[in-house]
Amino acid sequence: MAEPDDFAVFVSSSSHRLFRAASLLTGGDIATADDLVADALARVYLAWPRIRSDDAFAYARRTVVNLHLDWRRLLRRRAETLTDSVPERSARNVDYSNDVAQRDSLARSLRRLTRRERAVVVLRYFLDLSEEATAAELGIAVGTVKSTNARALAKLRVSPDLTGPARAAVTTAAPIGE
Amino acid sequence: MIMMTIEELRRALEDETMGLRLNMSAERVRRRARNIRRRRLMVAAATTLMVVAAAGFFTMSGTTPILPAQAGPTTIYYSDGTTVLSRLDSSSDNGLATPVGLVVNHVLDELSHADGSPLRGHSWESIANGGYAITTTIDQRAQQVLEQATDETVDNSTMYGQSRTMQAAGAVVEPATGRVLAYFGGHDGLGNDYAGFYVNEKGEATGVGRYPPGASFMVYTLAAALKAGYSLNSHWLWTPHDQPSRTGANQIRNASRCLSSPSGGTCSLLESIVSSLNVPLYDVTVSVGPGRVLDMARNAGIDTMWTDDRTRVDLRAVDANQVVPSRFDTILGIGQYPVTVLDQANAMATFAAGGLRAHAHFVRTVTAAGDVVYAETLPDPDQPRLLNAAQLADLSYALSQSAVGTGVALKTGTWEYKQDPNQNAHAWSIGYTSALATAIWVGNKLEEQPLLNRDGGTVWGSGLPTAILRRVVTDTQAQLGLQPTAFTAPAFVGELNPPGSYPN
Repeated sequence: MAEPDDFAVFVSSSSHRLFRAASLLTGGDIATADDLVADALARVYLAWPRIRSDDAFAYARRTVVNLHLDWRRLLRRRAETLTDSVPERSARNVDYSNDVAQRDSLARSLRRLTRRERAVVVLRYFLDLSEEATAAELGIAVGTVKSTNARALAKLRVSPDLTGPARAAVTTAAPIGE
Repeated sequence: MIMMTIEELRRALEDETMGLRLNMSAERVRRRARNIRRRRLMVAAATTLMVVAAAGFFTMSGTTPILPAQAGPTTIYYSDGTTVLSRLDSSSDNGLATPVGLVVNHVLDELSHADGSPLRGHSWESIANGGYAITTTIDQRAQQVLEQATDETVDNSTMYGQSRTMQAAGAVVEPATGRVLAYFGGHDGLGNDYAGFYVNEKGEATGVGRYPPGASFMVYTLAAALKAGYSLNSHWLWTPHDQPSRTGANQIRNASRCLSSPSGGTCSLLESIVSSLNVPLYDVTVSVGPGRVLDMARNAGIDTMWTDDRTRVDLRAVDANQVVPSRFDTILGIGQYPVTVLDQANAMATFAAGGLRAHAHFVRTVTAAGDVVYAETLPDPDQPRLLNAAQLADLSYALSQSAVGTGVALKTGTWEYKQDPNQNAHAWSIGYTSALATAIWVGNKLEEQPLLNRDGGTVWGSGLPTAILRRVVTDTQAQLGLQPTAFTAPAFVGELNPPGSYPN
């Protein structure tokens, strides 16, 4: 059996993390997340000769985020999933439906954000990028990252000022069995 | 309100995605890469061709062509022509992921397919990049009202806090013009369209918004009966009995009773409609003729219907006799065959407009470099009416008996859950005033399962869908300052003893 090549190794080592980020970006739409990752990795593959292996993940990550924000891809993706007779209830993969339902809570709050707000939250708090790196990744100003982030946190009911203990106190005060 | 800390957010994001696994093979990625490369080559080739062709066009014609317009992102506006609904650029705030993102599909469908559209046959991408200003029929106020009532993510909506597996969809159409004032096919404009379908640039139908209409389809059965000269006061046997193609164990059943003779017997056509009785309406369909019922539905605005094996039939392109009974049997009169939410709203608009049929549409005007290059087609006010004034008065009277005092003519409908006829899977409420036509559906997001409201009660058309419909009609009329005129008093025209009925 042939030795797995560089690219295959990269795919198997990076696709999980990318997929998790993509599922957050899409607000829990796992079918779209899967598609997003496949598309991004395909672009990494096309650029593979130009990419140094230590940059590959960053390149793939940036591609996932930018594809997520690219409306042309949205039109195309929808165009790809069509059939002549209208599909059975879901246009998405049925296997995912249970997962979608279970993951509804945070995903639901994430869906209330705009696409850019979601991107900022995922880059900052899931992929752990700094404000500057987030700005560079999205091609927007640092100030825009800050204001977008503040808006997103407010919508998610996350307080940037609240620290651990304060929250613990609130939790203990909540009635048990709620 | 309990706030989360940043650390808790980080943990929640981790937890949220903890169980996710992706088996992405390098081979799948390579295959996709090859497709992308092929597409890039094709785009490059096409661009070269277009530049060459455009150059030739400019030199040959010698005049300024209307198309292509200045390149740049196309902007789509609400009906006021100034409020942006979506700007088709690559920014994250282009609106495509919001409920009105679904409207964009219908707009592109219309412009790339409609007769008289200068963009007919154009690719969606070229329309999006053509720098056009597209004014839609969507009224921002009406759209907001509809979303606030149907969108499950909006805090005080009727769907808020209901089972997460449930989905609502709705459409509001302006009578006599066919302008779609509001359209809700789901919260995610990039997800499923639960209110209808559109045809993409490859000619493929996309969307999931068609469902069995159940008793809501009886509007057309009743309208066909009135047109055929049957009186609201004609009487029909409502107790289950052997009927053509439905005998013995296979007899049609009712989901409710005739109030004036609850133990069985005959029921007036009027009361049969108010109580959504399947048995008498099936006999009415047999008597009037299923082809005539289908014709009525089609002429009112039901453009598309699906067969039992889910084949889409464009009713405008066929003669009723070609498809009845081969594809649609007598059962059509009590709503077995799926139709879209948008078509139901459009059909209601026809009755609201005194029988004047318009085509539901999403685009009012398109301008390129300041010049109007496309404008909507409205119906000829002199075109023949679907029903005469007396028949319409009777129809509206019968339908307003379900909502006495509200001034709304409405019909509910419910279709049972496949695996348990005591549960429901689809619930409708469709209706109109002289100023507004509305259709609301409540059903399942994914797999079919019993519809239960947040109190655990079975959902019927008269429940959630009607609550939404009333809210939408009242609030939209208030927001738009519409003052509907009252329906004309019923004339009770027609034959008291038509064939198939019981002597009065």
